[in-house]
Amino acid sequence: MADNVLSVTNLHIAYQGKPAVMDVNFTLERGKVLCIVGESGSGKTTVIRALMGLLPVGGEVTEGSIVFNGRDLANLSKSEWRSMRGKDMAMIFQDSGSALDPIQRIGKQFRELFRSHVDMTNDECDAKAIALLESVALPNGTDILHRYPHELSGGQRQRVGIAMAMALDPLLLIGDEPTSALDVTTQSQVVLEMLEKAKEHNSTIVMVTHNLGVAAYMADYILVMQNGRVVDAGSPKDILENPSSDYTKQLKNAVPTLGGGRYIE
Amino acid sequence: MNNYAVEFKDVCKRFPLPNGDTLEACKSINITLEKGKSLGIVGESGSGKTTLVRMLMKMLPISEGEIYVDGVEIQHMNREQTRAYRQKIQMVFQDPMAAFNPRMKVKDIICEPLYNFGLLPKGREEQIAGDYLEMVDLPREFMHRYPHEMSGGQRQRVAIARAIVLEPEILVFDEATSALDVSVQDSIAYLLARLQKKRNLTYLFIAHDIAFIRTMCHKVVVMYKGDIVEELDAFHLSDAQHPYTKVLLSSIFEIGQEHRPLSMDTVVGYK
Repeated sequence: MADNVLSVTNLHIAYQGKPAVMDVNFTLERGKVLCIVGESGSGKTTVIRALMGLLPVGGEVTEGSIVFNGRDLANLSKSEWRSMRGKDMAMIFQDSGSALDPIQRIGKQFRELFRSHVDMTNDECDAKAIALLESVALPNGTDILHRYPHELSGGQRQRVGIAMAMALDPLLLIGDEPTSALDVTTQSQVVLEMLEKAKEHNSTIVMVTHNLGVAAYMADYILVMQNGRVVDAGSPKDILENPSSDYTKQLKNAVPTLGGGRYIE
Repeated sequence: MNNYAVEFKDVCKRFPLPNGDTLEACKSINITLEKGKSLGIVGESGSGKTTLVRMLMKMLPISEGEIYVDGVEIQHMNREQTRAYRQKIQMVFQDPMAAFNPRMKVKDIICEPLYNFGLLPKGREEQIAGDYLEMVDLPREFMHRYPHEMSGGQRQRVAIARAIVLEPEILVFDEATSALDVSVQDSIAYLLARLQKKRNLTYLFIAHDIAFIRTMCHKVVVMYKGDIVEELDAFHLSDAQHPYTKVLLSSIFEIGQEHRPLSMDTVVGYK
């Protein structure tokens, strides 16, 4: 299949020789959404960090391969990574606030982002940034461009981070719990917006989340991870209606719902 | 006079802004909560939820109105009363890492409140820390660890152990489980419900996840821009009348159900 944007084969990752991720396999076609769910420590963040080439010190891919857009990511040089990140693949972190430069206004950071990949004037950058901010439920974009990160609330900073990741319409958008810290109303808005943008540009999304409801809504495929291994994989329907592993069942039962069980009488 | 564990009476909080204006974070809040029951407070960020419980914790002075705990007004307590009050009410924060001294071991973290109140019998530290760790489903050996040697869910359990070690009557949780995995959140919810039954505790939960609130609380109040716009029986959330509550409920992603979020602009009849 020529349309595979991402294929991960037999991926093993270890931290200082201690295996953290074992035997992960998946392929993802253009325009599809993959959600990785599992509890903390299950290795889901490690997998997506490997996709971005951002494993922390001591972490390394010990076996297997990651092929993105026809290129094996194992032998990229630093400058090849640099030109790819932001443009071809972009990441939204759980805490985007700490990924922003604290001493630069938001507007300047947007300009820097645009300019490092494409040729644009200041006005073009600002206009595009304002449109992007609007799309992540920040309607007063002009005002926000003049602010420093500390002048925004955590939710606002998170949405700025999401807007920046989507700014250059990346082929692959990677999210590490991007909406978990947002209010449910904002979360809903942002999730819908991410999906719409991805559809518009035929982008592929890989997202780590512990919110099974969000995963069920967004994903074409879901991977369930536990202790560094994939214990369940398939479409949301398969996974949530007929989970094959006990862990998936457990996870599903743990989700609080508006119609489900309660702990009190 | 009354048998409410907590009562907010026309409570207001105003903050002066740098430009001379005032921000009304809480506008005339009225809430009553019976002993042994749980109250959930939901609302978007900036709606005044945290300000409200901070006043209850005496971490912020009240601008107007009164808060009664077991019928006693809390604003005008002398030092001795305040001290006794702090033993009665405890709070668990969103980020336990920020609430712990990183250089203290778990046993000292758990026993510190006892020590502060002079309630720690000599040489019983490890016994008490171990008992409370077991109560929150952690192994006794964890008492020798430092905060950074535990996962987020484990730290949050230690925070709960510390909050209950003084045997308080009221516990306040400010987004205490929002950052945790669903499975961890679920086990903590189970633990808290068990404790509540055993000790007749009164809980206040702040959360933006109304589905989680529903599993834990008897009563839910919805805050919007400093006001309580709706008070609901947690069993009948679908009775919600206020547009914001409807938006909130429709925003939740539920497995196996269609997602049709409303927005404040489309809900008719709201200013």
